[in-house]
Amino acid sequence: MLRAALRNLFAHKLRLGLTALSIVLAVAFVAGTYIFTDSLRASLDTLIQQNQPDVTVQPTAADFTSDFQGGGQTPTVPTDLGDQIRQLPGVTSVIPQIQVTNVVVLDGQGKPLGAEAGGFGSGTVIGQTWTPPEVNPSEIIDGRAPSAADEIALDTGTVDQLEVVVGDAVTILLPSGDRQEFALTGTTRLRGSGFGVGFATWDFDTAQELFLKPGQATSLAVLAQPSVSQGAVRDEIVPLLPPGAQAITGDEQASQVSEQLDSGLGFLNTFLLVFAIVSVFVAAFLIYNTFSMLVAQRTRELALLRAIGASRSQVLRSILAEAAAVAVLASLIGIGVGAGIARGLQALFQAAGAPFPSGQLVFEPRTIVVALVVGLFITLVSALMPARRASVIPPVAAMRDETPASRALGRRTMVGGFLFGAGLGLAVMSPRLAESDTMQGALMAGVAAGAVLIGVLALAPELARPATAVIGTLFRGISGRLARGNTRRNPRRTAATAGALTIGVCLMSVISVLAASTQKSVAGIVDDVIGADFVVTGYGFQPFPGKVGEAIRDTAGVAEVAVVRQAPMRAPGTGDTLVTGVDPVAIQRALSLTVTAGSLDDLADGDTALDSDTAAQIGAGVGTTVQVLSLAGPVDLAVVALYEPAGGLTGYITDLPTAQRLGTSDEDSVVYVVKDPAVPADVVEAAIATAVEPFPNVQVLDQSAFKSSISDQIGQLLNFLFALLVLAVLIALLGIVNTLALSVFERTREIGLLRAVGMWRGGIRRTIVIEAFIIAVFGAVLGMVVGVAFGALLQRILASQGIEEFAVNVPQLALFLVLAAVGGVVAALWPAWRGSRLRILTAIATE
Amino acid sequence: MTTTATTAASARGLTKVYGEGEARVVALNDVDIDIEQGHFTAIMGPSGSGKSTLMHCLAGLDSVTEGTVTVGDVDLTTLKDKELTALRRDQIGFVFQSFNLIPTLNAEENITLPLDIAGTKPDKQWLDTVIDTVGLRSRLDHKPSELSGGQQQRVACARAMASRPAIIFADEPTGNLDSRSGAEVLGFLRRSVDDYGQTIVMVTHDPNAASYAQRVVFLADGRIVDEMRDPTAERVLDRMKRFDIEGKPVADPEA
Repeated sequence: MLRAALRNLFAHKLRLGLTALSIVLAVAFVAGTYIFTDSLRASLDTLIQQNQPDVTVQPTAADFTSDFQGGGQTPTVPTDLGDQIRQLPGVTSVIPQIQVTNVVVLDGQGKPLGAEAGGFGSGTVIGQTWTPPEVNPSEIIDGRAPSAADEIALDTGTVDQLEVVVGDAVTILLPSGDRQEFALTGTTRLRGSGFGVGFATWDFDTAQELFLKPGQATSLAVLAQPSVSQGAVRDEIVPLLPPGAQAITGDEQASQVSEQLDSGLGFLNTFLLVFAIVSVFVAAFLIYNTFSMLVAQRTRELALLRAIGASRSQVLRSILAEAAAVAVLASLIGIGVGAGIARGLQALFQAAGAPFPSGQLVFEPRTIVVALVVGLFITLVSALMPARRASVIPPVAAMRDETPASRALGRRTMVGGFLFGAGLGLAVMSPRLAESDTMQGALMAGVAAGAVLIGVLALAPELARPATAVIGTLFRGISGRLARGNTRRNPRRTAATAGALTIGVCLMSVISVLAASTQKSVAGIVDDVIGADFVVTGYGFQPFPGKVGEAIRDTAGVAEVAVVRQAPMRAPGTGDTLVTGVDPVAIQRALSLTVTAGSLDDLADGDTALDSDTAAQIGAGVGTTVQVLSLAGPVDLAVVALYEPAGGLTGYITDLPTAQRLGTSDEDSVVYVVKDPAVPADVVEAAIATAVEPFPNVQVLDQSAFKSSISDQIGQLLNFLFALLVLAVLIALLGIVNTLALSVFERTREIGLLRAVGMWRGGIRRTIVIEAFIIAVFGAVLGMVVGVAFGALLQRILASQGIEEFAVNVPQLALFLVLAAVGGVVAALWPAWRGSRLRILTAIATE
Repeated sequence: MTTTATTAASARGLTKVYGEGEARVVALNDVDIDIEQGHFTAIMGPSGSGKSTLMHCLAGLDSVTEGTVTVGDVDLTTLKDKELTALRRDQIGFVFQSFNLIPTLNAEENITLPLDIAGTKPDKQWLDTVIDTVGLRSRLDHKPSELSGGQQQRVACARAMASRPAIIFADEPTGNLDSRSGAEVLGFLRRSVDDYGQTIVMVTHDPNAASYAQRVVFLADGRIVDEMRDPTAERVLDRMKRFDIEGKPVADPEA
């Protein structure tokens, strides 16, 4: 009897343990998200707050260039302005600074550092000047600061990756396309953060010679006497400023950056929380299932409590109190595990190429409160229904032997059917709404998908019987028959277990379908729009030297070279955007653009072609004049043509001279090459490859390679999203472990009987594993059907945004199914082992 | 009634000890027994006498501490779990007091369960005979929950017979049944002995049930204390009463 009691306790611990684990994982994701963004925030804050100059003088254009890395001229301020400022009372020093993007560090083979590994923007670092410690966010870790024209310092991360030491020579590819060798004098690091951005540092004169013209700096850092306020210094400086320059106090700058961070990190936080909430939702299924089984198993115990005088609310409270205790404990553990999740997110983002710091983790009190609230809320809500069911157990149930049969599913089925139908209705309507407003349409489709998914989950018990019968036919023999029977015994439980997996697989399928459709659509656009034979791009789509285009132009077998140059600007209808400079004749040979009004041939100095969407938005047409804010200040442009956006061309297009006035530099974003039809493609490709050899930061792609390079990028994004869904799927698989372990416990006598009449341990294991397989495949197929359908719907809605074709990545979906099935089988191993180890006699003798 | 006295199963010096030290309980103490082939043997005894343990040991459900157990000409104590399982499946049939059937399988599937586990085709003719004997023809596609207690036990009996085992072990097969259903089940067991030469060992504490057997073995304190041929309910009851009179440590009536 004692043994039975101990066994009971163990099983009790087990089921609570598994429930707790699912709460832990869900809470950990939520907590981890907050810890991650808080830590990021803290790292960036230390960076912003320390070593701020009192006032910074910088070009006004810096306001709208910050969103765009590289491309366009570098806005500057004159250094002699610094001399004037230095004369002002209260100013102690003025430090001219230079900071440029698009400096490429080359490895020993002369390739961009990390290009082999396919890193995003491989080898690209920020070029900067070494400044006094008062205004320098970096510190020297090893060696000394560079002080001569052939000297350089690099950040520790880049140095480690290069595998060089102080004193070695390093080769830098400059924006001009020239390579230059420098002696490494020291290594640098941003103070108090592991921020993953690379820096190449020179002394001021060297940097000015490399990147700017004499008399130019990208900003001036002004330090004042402590007795003078920042505002007072700024007010003194303002009258001295030439047009295109502005003075900002350190506090203003800090709060500006802080605001940008708030919105950026807020978005990141929300984005991650969406995935965390999916995990929480999945965990709710597990919790619900566990408490349902717990109540079912304790029917007699609870009925006995009622028989000896416990009230309904006492029973209800006892179950909920148990749930709350588990929730609090699990949530606290979840916060700890959240730290691990935060580290995982850091690694994930770094792997995806985002230079996020891996500094100290920050636990805000808010994180702990949110984690506890989420853990408690989700557990209590999930346990409420089972607890209510427990409270209505009549005292007489204590005398009955059998656990109550599964109740009719009537009301649940009705609600499920209603949601399913309503969702379908919305889904059918949403594409029409999307025609007038894509966002609204997508929102409606999202609501529709949510309703359909919840509807399907509610209907799942009804679907479970036929579905498991079909899947079960895969297995002949008695184990298969028994497993099938077991999955159908309690459809509610099977459905809830499978449903957890359904959610994860559904989301993965949606993402998969959207990605496949995007890839196919992009390939279609490349086919339709790009008439060029080759596309030349920089690694990570960084701009590259104009010399590349020139070198290709001189190559034999090349008929036409169309360069695309871009610079940041602020314009009506598009906000902060890029102006695109092209040669009107060349670009029309390289791309098949659909011109809806006017003609691109008319594109002359001071003119612009505008995409039809933007034109409609600002009410412009051929003949309209639009004022834009360029790096060089406000400029009027006359609209001479309207075109359909295609092949990455959108917004304002000008000819090359106009673009240069608007701020483009000698760097190209893309170069399209049309070959002489008489020369074979491989001959031309080889010739171009030779021509661009001096420029290791560009790649020459033919059409199919260009398509697959875009596909690869989408694929990377896809993997990133899948990684965020892994936890939800993991919790779902945990649910299978849980359900089966408890089922094994419930079926102790049955297993004993099977063993007695001659079933081997292997047979018992096989039965349990097949049961898990059926549940997992049922859940996955259900999710996949809903997911693919919703993916198709989204594709239709987003057709106007360029995802014009529908595609399904069948091998990928098949892989999901296989992984779900394998996951289910793995989840069953432990319960199966336990089931097979049951001692026959104890099993038979169990009450 | 058969008169052959070939042995279907036997035990020599069978001792079964549970626990150690203070908690040490000797459930069976040096038991010698022969189960005659084609006979209906009942094992009786008060609660805690070791009758269920004896059955479990004879049937290969439990390991023995000392001695040997033979079924046919196989010594069970030398078998590994897998061989023992196969022996139970092929040579032995079981009828338990309750929870005899797999709830997800219908009556017919439950009857053929050991055959299905073994992966052998049932002998159709024999199966029909068995099903008709227990009178379940019309209930074959019913789930256990749709059958009465008596019907469930008849399904269990049919299952035990379906694979033509060397021995059927029945553990209180009528313990949960009303007297009419119990009589039906016992009648069926007896008929299978008389008509088909089936060997049956039944553990019971019910003198009326024991009267269906041809031989009753009485157990007390883990030893065989008496034996009775061609019992009647009255004689068995009388014999049982003497356990109390002799002051044997009898536990409260079995639950």
